[in-house]
Amino acid sequence: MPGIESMTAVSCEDLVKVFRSVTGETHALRGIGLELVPGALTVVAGPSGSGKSSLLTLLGARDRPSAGRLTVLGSDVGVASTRELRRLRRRQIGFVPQRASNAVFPHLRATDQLRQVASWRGASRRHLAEALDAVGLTDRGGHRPDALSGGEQQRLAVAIALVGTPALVVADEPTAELDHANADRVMDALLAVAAAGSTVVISSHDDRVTHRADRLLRLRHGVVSSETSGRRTAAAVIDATGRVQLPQEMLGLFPDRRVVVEADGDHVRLRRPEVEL
Amino acid sequence: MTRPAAHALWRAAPLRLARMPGWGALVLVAVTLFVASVGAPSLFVETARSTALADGLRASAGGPFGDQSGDLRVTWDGVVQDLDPLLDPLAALPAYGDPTVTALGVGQSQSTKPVAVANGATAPAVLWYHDGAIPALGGDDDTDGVWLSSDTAAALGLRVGDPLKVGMVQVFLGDSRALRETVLAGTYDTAPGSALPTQLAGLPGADRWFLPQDPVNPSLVTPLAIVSRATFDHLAPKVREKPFYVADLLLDPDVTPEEATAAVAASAAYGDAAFDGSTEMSAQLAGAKPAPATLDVISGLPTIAGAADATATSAREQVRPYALGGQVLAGLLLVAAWVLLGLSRRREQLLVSGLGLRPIELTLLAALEALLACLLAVPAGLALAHLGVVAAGPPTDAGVPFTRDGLVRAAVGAGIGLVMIALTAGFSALATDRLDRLSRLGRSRVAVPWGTALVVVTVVVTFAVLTVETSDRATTPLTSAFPFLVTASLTMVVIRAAAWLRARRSTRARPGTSRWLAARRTGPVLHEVVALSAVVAVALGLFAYTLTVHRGIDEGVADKTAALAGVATTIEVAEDFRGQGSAVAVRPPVDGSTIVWRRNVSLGPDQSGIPLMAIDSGSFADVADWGGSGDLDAGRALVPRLPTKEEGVPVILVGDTHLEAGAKTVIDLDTVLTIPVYVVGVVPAFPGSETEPGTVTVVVDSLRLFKIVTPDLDPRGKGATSDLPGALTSILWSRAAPPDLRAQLDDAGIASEGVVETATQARIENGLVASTWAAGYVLALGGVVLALALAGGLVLALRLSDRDTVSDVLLRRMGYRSADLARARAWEVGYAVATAVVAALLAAAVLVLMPSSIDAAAGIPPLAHPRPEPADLLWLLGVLVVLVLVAWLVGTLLTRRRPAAEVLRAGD
Repeated sequence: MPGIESMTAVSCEDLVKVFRSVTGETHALRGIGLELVPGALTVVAGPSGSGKSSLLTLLGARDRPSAGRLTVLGSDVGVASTRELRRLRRRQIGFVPQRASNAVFPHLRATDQLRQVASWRGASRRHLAEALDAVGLTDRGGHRPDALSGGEQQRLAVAIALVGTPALVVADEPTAELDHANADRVMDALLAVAAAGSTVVISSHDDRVTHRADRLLRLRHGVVSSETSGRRTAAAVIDATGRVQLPQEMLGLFPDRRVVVEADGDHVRLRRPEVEL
Repeated sequence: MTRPAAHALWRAAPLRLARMPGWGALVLVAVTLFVASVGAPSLFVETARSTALADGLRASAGGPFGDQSGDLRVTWDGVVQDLDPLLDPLAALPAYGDPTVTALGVGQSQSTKPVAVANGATAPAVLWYHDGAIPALGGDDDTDGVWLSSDTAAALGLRVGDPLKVGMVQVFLGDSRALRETVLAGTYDTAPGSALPTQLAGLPGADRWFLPQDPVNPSLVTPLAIVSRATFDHLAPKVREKPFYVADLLLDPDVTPEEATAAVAASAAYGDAAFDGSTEMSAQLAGAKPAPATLDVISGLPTIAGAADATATSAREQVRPYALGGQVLAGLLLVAAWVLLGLSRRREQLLVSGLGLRPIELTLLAALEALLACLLAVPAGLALAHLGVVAAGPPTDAGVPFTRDGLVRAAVGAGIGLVMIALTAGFSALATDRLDRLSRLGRSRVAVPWGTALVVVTVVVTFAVLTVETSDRATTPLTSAFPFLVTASLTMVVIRAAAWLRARRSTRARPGTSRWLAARRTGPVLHEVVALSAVVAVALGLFAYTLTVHRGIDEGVADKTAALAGVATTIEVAEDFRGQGSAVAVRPPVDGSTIVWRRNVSLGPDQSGIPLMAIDSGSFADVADWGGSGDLDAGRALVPRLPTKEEGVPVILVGDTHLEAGAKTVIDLDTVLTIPVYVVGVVPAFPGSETEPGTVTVVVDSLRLFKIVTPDLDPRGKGATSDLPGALTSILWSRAAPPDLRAQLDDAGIASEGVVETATQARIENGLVASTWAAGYVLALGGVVLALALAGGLVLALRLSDRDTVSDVLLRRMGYRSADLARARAWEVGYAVATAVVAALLAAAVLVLMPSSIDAAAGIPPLAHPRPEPADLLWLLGVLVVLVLVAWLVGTLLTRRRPAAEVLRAGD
């Protein structure tokens, strides 16, 4: 159906990825079928070796499938020319690899890195400030990566991926090296870019991340083992004394019945107190 | 907030290497070496040309004007009305000084004599003019009259101011006289043994002035009647003298090859102008008295400059394979440096690929990044090339000039280096972009059998090189690749064999010791370690080979020089050893000399035109040059057998002949004299045997020969002269330099005007001096590959240290000390370098044992070939020790400098 096709940013069908080595073949993906639409954040979860990174690398148009069909932003990754894929990555795809230090230029200051990438994506200068601000690096923009901590490098990598609001953002465990506050900040930024119309797909083991996803895919042995749709939101009532009554399914997140309330602009965030740093 | 820079990658690129001192230095060194390798050959050739020219001019300095002197002599046989049209262009010739004019009468013959007549007496006196001569005698150039020697004036009973007549008298078949009256303007005392006044004989170059010769006995001095030029021009035609003008021009001793070329062209044009009827010079010569004059231009400069050009061309040809090898090596080093830099930026390459940067952008970024290094490499490479040429190139007093051409070549080299870097980066980016090739299902990765391919190429190239004619083998382009391929192939075999042996045999070291740890770590074969070991092995192999080649060429040149010249200096003596018995004909006339008699003979029934050397067996061996390698010693051992009594005259045959030691044959001095000879030995080369390279030479004891030849050929007999048909030529061999030998001969009363030949000349004329210089280039190349070996070993130590970063932390926590770990790594590096040394030795041995491909003058025996010495092994062992120490030092320092927490945090 043309209407659905035009709404789909990424679609794959029987996606297979096989790696060859001297010790034999490794089947990383064994027939994945899915569609990703703009405006949603999809989380790919699963145990180590389940194929998450392979899938995300393919979705980021950084590798070609061994078999099956993968269409990213209208380009068939399996048959597209190297030049076409390069153009796609340059202008429309933001990618955060698993290790943050792999995603930044070691010799450029943070703002210069964003500026450079923004120029390729045709983004305005305003986007630079927004991207840095979104990941909390506004005051670190003049530093080179070797002067940033591991967490700051990871957030810079996310900012580089988000600058200019690319049509597709792929992030491989973008919060792995972050504390909860910064992980939430990064998730907020990813959700914001999704809300702005981008298609966002990330991998994570973290329940705090998966709970905020619009869609959760669980991989196991290279296939999608389960899929959960919808961000878990629900209506709650605040009484006159300020008490909030959570729905039963969310109440389970607070087994000791204690909660930390964080105000962040127009948002209020509730989280378990034991994870506070 | 800091204002972000637009196009940050591009802006950061030019100074990026400067912020990475280690990599920046590596790239700078690699580009500098490449620039030097591009600039050095032409610099080398230019220096060879100027050195050969300087050597040629130095060898001829002070010699007589003519083909062997760079100075210019112009002569014309008539009195011209105006000398300026002849002299002005001469004064304008480049590289020459002002002309010095001599004029004299050359009309004397056996029947006509130049004389001065007075008071009824007659004395020989030749009209002679020389610029500055009369002022030197205290007279005035405008004064009329003649200056006679005091002896002549006394014989004629003259005093200054007395009238006399000068002119020509016929002393045979008639009594014709042509005399003109003049006055005695002055007298002078002659220098001993000379016709020149004492005031003139001591002036610089006086021994080269043109003086009249007695046609009957050239060694007799004809007294001079010194006159002014006006007097000469007035008198000479009237007394039927044959006027002869000489203009001598001295060449600037520091003349450059370009100036020499210009001087040759200008002097040729001057000579041509004399025959161009439209020129004033031609008109003057045509109107000369007593008859139209002919102008001759005489100079050895064209020959000397041509020889210098030939030497430079020979040097270029001989150096070309090594120069090409050096350029390829430097290019590989440059590419390898950038590849290593790229490997250290592997993550960044994946990042830029992921961000969609085009390969062309990465190519230009790399070029921008390397631009500063390339710019710095221009002066650095130029300086390095100069340093190399000064240190290992042709010896030159004038130094190696920095020229614009050199700068252009260096800039071109840097440009090529920049392009190579950019292309390397571009191909790397393309490879990163096409990762799909590695992982797409259904496509298997093509495993290229590099080892087999290397062996096959080596075999093919070796076969090709060995099938080339020996004389062309050294200059064929394949010769450049041949040592590298052989070394690489053998290195591969040795390293694989070492790995196989290691896999089959467990270590005997006690568990837990450093050696045990090293053995455990060398178990799994890492490609990077193998590759670096191979680099060290190939570099060491080439280094060892260059040592043997350098020595082989040097000794080969010494051997060939000995075979060509025989001794430092030879001088042909026409008569002084003849007609005075055996003692004079054979015995060395001065210390450090020996007499060699030569002529051509026929050998056996079918070999004519064979050079014969008759030597004094008693003195020859001590005087002759026996080369540098010992290859000529076989002939030396045979010399004492020449005077012995055999069935036939004992002879040594030199060269390629079917005759063997013990053979009996005949030599034929002319059609009526056939001498039976007994071959005491056949040798490939003998001092002085190669007057005609490629031809067999017969060496015989001179006394044995003289006793057998017919009386007319025996130089000992009374009346024997060099003019007799078939006479042997007598040549004095001496270890002294030409001036010293001349002085010795003068003291001994032996004529020293004969043709002088020197070993230096022989080296120059036969291109051997170029071989010597090429050997220097080889040594410089050896220095480069040694540096490469050391650098490879250092990188090996660093990479092993990087490999063990995490495991070292864990092992330290298990109880190992830092010193134990450093020692273990030193063992490991030692094992790798020892393997490399074995491979290098094997490769060098194979290259040495294979047929020689290093002799660029193979037509002159004996054939030069690489010559190993025990010191070469010491060099390799020294490298092994240095690298093990470096590995230990690197291991110790790096282990201490890395905090465990940081290592574990960054480990991946």
